[in-house]
Amino acid sequence: MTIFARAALAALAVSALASAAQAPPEVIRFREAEYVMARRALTPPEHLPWQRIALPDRWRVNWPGITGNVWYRVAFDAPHPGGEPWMVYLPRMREGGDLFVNGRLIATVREPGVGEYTRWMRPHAFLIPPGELREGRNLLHVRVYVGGEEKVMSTVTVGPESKVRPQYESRFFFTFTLAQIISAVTLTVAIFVITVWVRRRMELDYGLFGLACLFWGLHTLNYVIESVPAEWWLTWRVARYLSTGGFAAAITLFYLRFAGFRIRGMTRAFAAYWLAGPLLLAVGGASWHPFIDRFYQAGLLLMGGFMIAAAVYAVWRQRSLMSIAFLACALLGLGGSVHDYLLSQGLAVDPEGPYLLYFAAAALLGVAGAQLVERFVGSLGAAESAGRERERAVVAERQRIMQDMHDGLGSQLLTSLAAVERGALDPKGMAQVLREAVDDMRLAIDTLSPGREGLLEALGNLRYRLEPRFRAAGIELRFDRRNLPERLDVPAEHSLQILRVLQESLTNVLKHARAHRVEVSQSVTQDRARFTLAVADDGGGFEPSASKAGRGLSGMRRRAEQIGAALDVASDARGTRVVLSYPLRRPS
Amino acid sequence: MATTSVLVVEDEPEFLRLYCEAITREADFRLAGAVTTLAAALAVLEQSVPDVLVVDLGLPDGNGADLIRRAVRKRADCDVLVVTVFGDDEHVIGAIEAGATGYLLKDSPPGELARCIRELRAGGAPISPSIARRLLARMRAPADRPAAPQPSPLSEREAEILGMVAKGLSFAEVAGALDISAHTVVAHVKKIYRKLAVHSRGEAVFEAKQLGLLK
Repeated sequence: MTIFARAALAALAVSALASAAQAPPEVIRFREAEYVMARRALTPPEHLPWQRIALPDRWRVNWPGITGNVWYRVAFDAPHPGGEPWMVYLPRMREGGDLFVNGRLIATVREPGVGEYTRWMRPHAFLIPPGELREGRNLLHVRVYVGGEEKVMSTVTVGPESKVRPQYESRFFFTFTLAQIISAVTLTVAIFVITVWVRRRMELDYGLFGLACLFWGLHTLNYVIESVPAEWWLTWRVARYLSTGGFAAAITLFYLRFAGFRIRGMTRAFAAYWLAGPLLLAVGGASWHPFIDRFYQAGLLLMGGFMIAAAVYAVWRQRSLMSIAFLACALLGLGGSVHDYLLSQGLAVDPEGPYLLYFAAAALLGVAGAQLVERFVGSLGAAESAGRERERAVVAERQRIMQDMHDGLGSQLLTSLAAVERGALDPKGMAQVLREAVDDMRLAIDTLSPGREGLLEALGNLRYRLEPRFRAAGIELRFDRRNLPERLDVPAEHSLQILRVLQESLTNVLKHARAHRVEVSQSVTQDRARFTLAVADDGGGFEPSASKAGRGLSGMRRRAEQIGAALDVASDARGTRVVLSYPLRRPS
Repeated sequence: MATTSVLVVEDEPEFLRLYCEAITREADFRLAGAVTTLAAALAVLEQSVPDVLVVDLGLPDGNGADLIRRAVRKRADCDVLVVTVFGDDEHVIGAIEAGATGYLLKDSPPGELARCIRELRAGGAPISPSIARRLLARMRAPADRPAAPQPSPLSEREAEILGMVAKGLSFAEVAGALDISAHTVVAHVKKIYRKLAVHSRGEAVFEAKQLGLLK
């Protein structure tokens, strides 16, 4: 190692020492201060009995029942003047007060005055004027009035602006700007959801979600609007409890319903509790405020308990992502509410911590919203597929009718046309063919036209139409209806086939049976599982193996088969009996 | 024995011929006219209104309902028989509202026209189950004033008969069930038709008639 190198190292070491000496001073967060009660005008002198106290100072614990001006002081060493400006930062200073540096007033945060109700939700930070800072020991005094609303004197942070300002700004964002954003967003969502819900009365859940958003938006306004005229104070507090309670009730009901709890009177009970507190305050006046602030709000926590019970039940019933998210949110919600309640009462929890229900509420509303969106999208999908289903059904129906025309009327007319052209059909036979074609069309109109009541009416119409023919032929046509219900739900195309079988049987009686009487009995079995149609005549009967009769019969059998019905034909010299048995409850 | 005069309005020559033959075949019927258009029919009505008007609803130059209305207004006891092709119930109801008391399907056996006219002259009227159901629905809730609390113009018995016919019971079965004669049943049906016609002409006229102000 050369001498130069050694010299260079020495120079480095010297410069390092120099920079250590000029290092910017640390930020000091005071967790302890000295206090004294004294007049408010001037910083109290040294000789007063200053006592040490830990910060944050919970007044509810340390100053029960005491009112008056309390001075807190902390001492800190500042660097030589002329450097970077210094800043004082108080995360909470809800009821205002004065700040002094070395006995000189540097800032005043407005206190609740006459005719005004003020409660600062934002943090406070002030630059110390450069001229006020001494080299060496400096004294910072904070004067606050104990015995008002506020329950805590927070810690005090002092340090160079570049170090302190970020702390202050981050707190400002989380306690104030975020509240503004949440309030604006939830109110916007609420207006949207409630408007849609009022215009289209969907399930109650949408309304509950809208109300929860509305109340949470209004509740959050509490953190945004920090000052109201005194004459509005009571109204303001009533509105606050209305919105807080309303949110708790609406979101709890929403989740209870989500979990499947639909207890009679549940909604009413929640609504009753929700209204009770604010009403008591509105009617009873300001003297009720401490009671309601403490106990009504504690009651609202109980709703969180319901919510957790519902969430556990929902998870137990169905382990879905949604139900687990719901349970997590419910736990978060209750935790946040308990924390915020204690915080607002100045008890137990870190008095400087932020309000947590914000985040929990956002999560709760988010999961609820996601759940509704999922349901909404699901029902849209269901509606769409129902539309597609209907379309398919229409196409299928058209297909069936075309097929029917092709197989039935079409082939019947074509066969007859061929017979006529061949000269094989005399006018009587032709009339017969055309009449059959017309009859078949009538059946189709009776069963397939829209606005028809169904099988029973179509049976009546068929009988009404055929009666004159039987009368002309001198055959007594009797219809016997046993234990038939008011209506039978049979698909139209099945009705058509049933009627065709009946019409064919009756036409056969007219044409061939040489009967005096024909009886059509319609009945439904005891268990309503089958509809039975029997056509019995007292004619001469026929030989089922005869080719023509055989063809007619096989046509009837085919129709019966198509609709899953059984056809039974018995014929002897005393008459013919055709029985169609149609299953009413179809296995799907 | 007085003969029944019949005017036939039918634009299809085949059916016109069929109906005319069916009427001239009967000794107690007299064919008052056979025309193929609404205009011609109206001209005949100007001269005199027959006992029975047989009219096809689908005339080439207009709606048969107008013709029916004109005939019934000129002569309240004119029986109008509508002939119809298929189950066009709406048209049949329209014709009944205009004043028709009977309808005949075009494919009925040849003897049916004369039988039906006789039934009408004897105070009866035919009705099919689907027409009965539609009438029942119409009389319960008038289409023009569905919200107005309005007593049904039908008597309890009439509504009962319509209900049974709508379910598919024949006149004989209805008569048996109600322990009245089949003739009484068809007379009820004709009264129902008349009521529907008056009903559709407006409440004022109907009420006036109920109160005996109009005959």
